[in-house]
Amino acid sequence: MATIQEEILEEFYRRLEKADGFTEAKRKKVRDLFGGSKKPKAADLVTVFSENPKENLP
Amino acid sequence: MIQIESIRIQELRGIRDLKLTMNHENFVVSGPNGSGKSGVVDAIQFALTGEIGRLKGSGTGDLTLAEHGPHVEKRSDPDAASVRLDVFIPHLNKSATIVRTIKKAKHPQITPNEDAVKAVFAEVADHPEITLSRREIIKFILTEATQRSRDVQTLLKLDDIDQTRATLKTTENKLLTEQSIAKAQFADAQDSLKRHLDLAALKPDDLLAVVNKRRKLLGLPEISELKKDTDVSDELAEGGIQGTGEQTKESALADLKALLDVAEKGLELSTKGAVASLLKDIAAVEADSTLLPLIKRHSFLQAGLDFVDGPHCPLCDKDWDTKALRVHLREKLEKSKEAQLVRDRLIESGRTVAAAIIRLRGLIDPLTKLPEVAKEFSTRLGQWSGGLLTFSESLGSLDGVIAAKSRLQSGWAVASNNLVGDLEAVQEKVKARPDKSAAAEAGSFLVVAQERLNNVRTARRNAEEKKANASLGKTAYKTYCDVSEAALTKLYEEVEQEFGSFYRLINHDDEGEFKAKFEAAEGKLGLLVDFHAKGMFPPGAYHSEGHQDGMGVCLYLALMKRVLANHFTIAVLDDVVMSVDSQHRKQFCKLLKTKFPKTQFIITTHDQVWARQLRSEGVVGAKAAVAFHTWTVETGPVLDEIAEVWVQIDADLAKNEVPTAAGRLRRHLEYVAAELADELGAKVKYRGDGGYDMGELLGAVIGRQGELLKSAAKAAKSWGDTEQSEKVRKLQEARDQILAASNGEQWVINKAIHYNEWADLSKNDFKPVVTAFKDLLQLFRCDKPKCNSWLSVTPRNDPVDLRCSCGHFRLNLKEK
Repeated sequence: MATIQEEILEEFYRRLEKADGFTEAKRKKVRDLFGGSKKPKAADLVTVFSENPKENLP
Repeated sequence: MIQIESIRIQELRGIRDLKLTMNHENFVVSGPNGSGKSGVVDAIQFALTGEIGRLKGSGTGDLTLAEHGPHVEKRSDPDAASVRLDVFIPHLNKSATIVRTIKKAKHPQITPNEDAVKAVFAEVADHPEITLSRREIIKFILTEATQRSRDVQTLLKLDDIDQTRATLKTTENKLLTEQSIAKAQFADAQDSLKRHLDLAALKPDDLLAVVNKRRKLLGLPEISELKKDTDVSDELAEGGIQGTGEQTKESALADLKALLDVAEKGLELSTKGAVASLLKDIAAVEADSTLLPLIKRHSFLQAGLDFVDGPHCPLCDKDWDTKALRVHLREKLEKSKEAQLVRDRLIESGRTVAAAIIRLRGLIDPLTKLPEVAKEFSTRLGQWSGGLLTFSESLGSLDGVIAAKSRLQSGWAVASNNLVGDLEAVQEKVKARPDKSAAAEAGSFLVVAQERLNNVRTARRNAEEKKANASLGKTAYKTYCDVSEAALTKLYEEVEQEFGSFYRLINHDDEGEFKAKFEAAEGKLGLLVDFHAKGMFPPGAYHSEGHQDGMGVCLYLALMKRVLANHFTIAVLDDVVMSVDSQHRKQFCKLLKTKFPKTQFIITTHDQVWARQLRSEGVVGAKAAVAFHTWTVETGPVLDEIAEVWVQIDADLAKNEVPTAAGRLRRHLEYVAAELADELGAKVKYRGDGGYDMGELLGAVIGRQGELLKSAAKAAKSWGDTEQSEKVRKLQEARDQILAASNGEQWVINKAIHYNEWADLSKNDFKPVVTAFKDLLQLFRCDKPKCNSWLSVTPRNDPVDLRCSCGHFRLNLKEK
């Protein structure tokens, strides 16, 4: 049975799909962080939000 | 979730050895205060959660489960203190067993050892609120909004929501700090380029005009469009022109002027407000010795909370109670919220000063490369800039900000006394710099311009990136807040509706329009209830204690229904609704039966009337009850379990323990006589203290039985019901024989001579007494083994029937 926190997180993920800048990869990482056995720390989220695709062009 | 089939308690708290069969149905444990009822609640709670609530929390001091969980005579043998629960799991349609000892409280034995079964017990352990006392229930009603918020949050498992919100807020703050620094670095790079180009604003056309002027002079092709990768010094080397990278005179003078202007106006002018705010908050911290510990504790607690993510302490590896520890830490965090505001202001103002330092360093650093700056002054400027960097970094922490007090008071910039003079001297030297050829000047100009343009580009990319990151942090935090707020509003509305409907069901006679309203604010949960349509008030304002009791249970049930939905299969209610009057309790029974038909309620009460009412209203079955009479350290609760009393008496006599058997029989008769007096409507002389003795009650019961059989005989005759006439005749015959054989009427009439002296009888003398009363009581029961319930009259006021609960035994009492 889903807890209230789980219900809220599911809706949170759904809304992030429509939010600017939240790519599928980022959303997956956020979901993995909150779905893991340990609670995510702010530093983990800062890392995820700061990961940007590097331009490989010369 | 689960329902209890049976429980075996050994050497736990006040209980020596007790087995109760509940058959996953509602069950009532009754008995006077101090008879050991709460031991059953403790045992259920312990078996399911590994904890005993009354050994935890405020006021429990040095009490521990390990030391005080076992029976007082088994303190040194925690392995002997155990509880075994046989349960039924409805949604798995499976039975299971959990055995837990005090010695291995965290490691119960679960059978069958299946993941699905273990998951069910883990879910139950996560809901200790399935066992609740009146004291705990009423706290939802009569408490301040802050405490109610905590209690309801705990029950609804909302702690995680707050923690997630706090983590996302911290994330947003960290990203904002990074954005602030990147923004300052970008502005600094832009200023540096503007000074070099001598432009007030960095417009592409203006920049190209300045650059192309030099390129034209050097015979290089003009640049028509400024692109992301445009190099303004492009083809310089190919043109045979060596750009030295040395600043042109104008550019150097512009850099010098920029620092001179700031130095003359005041190096700290832009941070005047932030410094004043810092000094004020630092003074507040110094004036109130409790503030800093509170602030520091907040960070410590917040950090600590992050580590409470497993069953063991990460330092000493000992088991800890994750849930209780987190609740404890959150309560402390709540208390330090005001201090947290001071902390936030200190960090924010520190961030402003740090950004100003970055800008100042941007003015200092280019000067160190000027050839006119003497080595000694260049070293001093470098050290100054380095010192400022160290200072700015220290402002990122609370301790650093507070430690910066004296530097902030005396002037954080700490410039040398003769800074302006030194800079002016350099200025003069630069002005006196011999003119180079126009081509050399132009070459150097383009090299430095490209260098600073690169800096702008890098700083801009970084600033844009940090801004985008901060935007993600902001969106994530706001989205989570919006979602959680909407979810909680909906949740509270659902609970309000459910709570109101439950309460109206109980109080339909006088508060049929009752409604309730939660008022949720940050960290608070206000509760207002309707009072006879006169307005909305706090529950304690006008409602009686009985009504508040009812509210407590209704709110608890509404919350549990929302939390567990169809998993709300069990609740242990320890002495609740004690202040509710009989009529409203009847409605409470209706609430339990109609709204929670799939929930097993295990109810303890010291009130025999309430225990009987639970049975008469059909909440609990005839056999689903046990009464505790007394309690001693040696025996634990002495119970009167109807079904087993005769077996126990036979066992006593087999061991030749006549006094024990006599005591057991007397207590059983006292209990049954009270039950039957109520069930049959026997007339008993009223006693204000309720202290009826067995003789008075049993005499009245036997007399009442005689009256009822006579009524049944007359009714049968009037209706020509020969079958009932025959049944009554046989019953009267059996009754006469048993009373004659047992001389029971005399025994119960003359208590001084008889039953008080049973203990002195020999085993053989006492056996007939036991047989006589056993036969006597059987006359008052249904003879169908599966029913075996006490006979009762219905309706109570003007009986029409004498019947058992299954309907197998029924005698009409009304004549034609």
